[in-house]
Amino acid sequence: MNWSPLLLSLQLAFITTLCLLIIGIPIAAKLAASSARYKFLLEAIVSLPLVLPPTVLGFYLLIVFSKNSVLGGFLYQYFDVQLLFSFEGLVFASILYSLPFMVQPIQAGLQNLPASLSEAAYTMGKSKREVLWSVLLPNIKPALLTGIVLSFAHTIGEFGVVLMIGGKIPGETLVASIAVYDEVESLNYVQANFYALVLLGTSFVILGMTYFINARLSTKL
Amino acid sequence: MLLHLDLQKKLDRTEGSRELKVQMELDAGDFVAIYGPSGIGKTTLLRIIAGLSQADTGFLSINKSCWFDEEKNINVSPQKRKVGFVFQDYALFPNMTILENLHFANSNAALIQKLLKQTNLEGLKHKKPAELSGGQQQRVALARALVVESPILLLDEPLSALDHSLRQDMQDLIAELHQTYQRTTLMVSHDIPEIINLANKLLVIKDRDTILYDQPKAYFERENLLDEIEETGLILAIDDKELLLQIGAKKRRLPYSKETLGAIQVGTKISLKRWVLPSKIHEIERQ
Repeated sequence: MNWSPLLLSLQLAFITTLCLLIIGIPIAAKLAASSARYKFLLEAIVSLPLVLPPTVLGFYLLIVFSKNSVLGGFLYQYFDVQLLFSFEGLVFASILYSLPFMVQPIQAGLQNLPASLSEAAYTMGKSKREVLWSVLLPNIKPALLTGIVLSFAHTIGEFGVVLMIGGKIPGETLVASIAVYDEVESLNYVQANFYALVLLGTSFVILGMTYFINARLSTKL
Repeated sequence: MLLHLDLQKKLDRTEGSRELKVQMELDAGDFVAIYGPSGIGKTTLLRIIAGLSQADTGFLSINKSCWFDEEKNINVSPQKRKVGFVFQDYALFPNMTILENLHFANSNAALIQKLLKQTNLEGLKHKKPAELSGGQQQRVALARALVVESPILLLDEPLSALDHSLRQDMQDLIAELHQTYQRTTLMVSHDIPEIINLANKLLVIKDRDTILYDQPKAYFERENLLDEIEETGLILAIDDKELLLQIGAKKRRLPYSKETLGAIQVGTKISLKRWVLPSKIHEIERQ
């Protein structure tokens, strides 16, 4: 049995989730606190991957990443980085693709906290960053966990975007979801079933654990 | 003069918009009760002082340093104003223990220790807010606001969620803490006896004007919001804070202070005056 696609999927999901935590928390905090008139534009952009066919996102990334585009050309010329058909490109695409799954739960969690919590901390002289870190985030652990798990699971389940910009280079871009499709196309049902079963099992275990932990966290609060 | 403000702010309410206009000067150690109907802008005034809301025009200065001046475009952030604020929902941080809540506000360990003792919270300091009763949470909120070493203390209906007997205890505690720390205090309250017990000044916010009165009691009497009754009672028992009296056919426990009463003992007959809220006449007999 070839474990490489499964390990690659896990690796991609892990790195993507980590990056999303770093990027998603400030975005969610900004959206939760903002009452700006044009906030809805940013919210719509963040949520686009929820409704957009993955192939559409993949198509545009294909164009933006290509050496002939401004960004792709710049990266290739000055940093020797080629995002198309590479693991780095997949990470970048996955971050965009799973962004709403990290941002939305955290934003909702923050908005559900009473405003008086952060206001009380401000009157104690605490900066916005200190308040986010010491007061707000520790009180939305279930939302953080939900964001992490959904982003992770969603990245593992990614198919269309990877197909468009990743191809299926073994060890580089051939992730498990693509491998299932690939094996079925070559009529290799046993290997396809192996990948499918492992994905099914992991997804179930991850979600089960999340609901279990969240139930315990919410009874504790 | 410690606090000087002259502020205007338009308030948007469901029943239409109105203008909040407040002008007042307070001395260090003043205890001001803010009184007025719901939705008139009492909480907003506290928020403006703390820097959590912004007035449209006017100025606000504390100890001669300017916190807000619309003309000069000055608006000091709430972080730099650092006032003690007791929110209506207490706003205790659920993830922190009581001690951590106080420590987060200010790391002055000696003051924290002193306040824990004064508010009778020492035994609870390692508990989280959710494990405490309403009255205990209230004491934590009060202690935490005092840990912030600010000349200003803002209380937004701090006792409204407590039952009657707890309110009495908390009033005593607030009075005691005010005596010790002498913070200039502004307290939103609807409760007339509470205001008379605690405040030396009264800010009445009404539809058209806002007036600061020097004697809260005199205001309520004038407005027919308070009655004085005279009774005769026989002392049945005396303890530190309360007298047990036989008044007519009823037995009543009434709080008293030793200084005002002088030499009394069980069996003495006294005449007393009490403030009571006006009520409807429920029985009339022709004499």
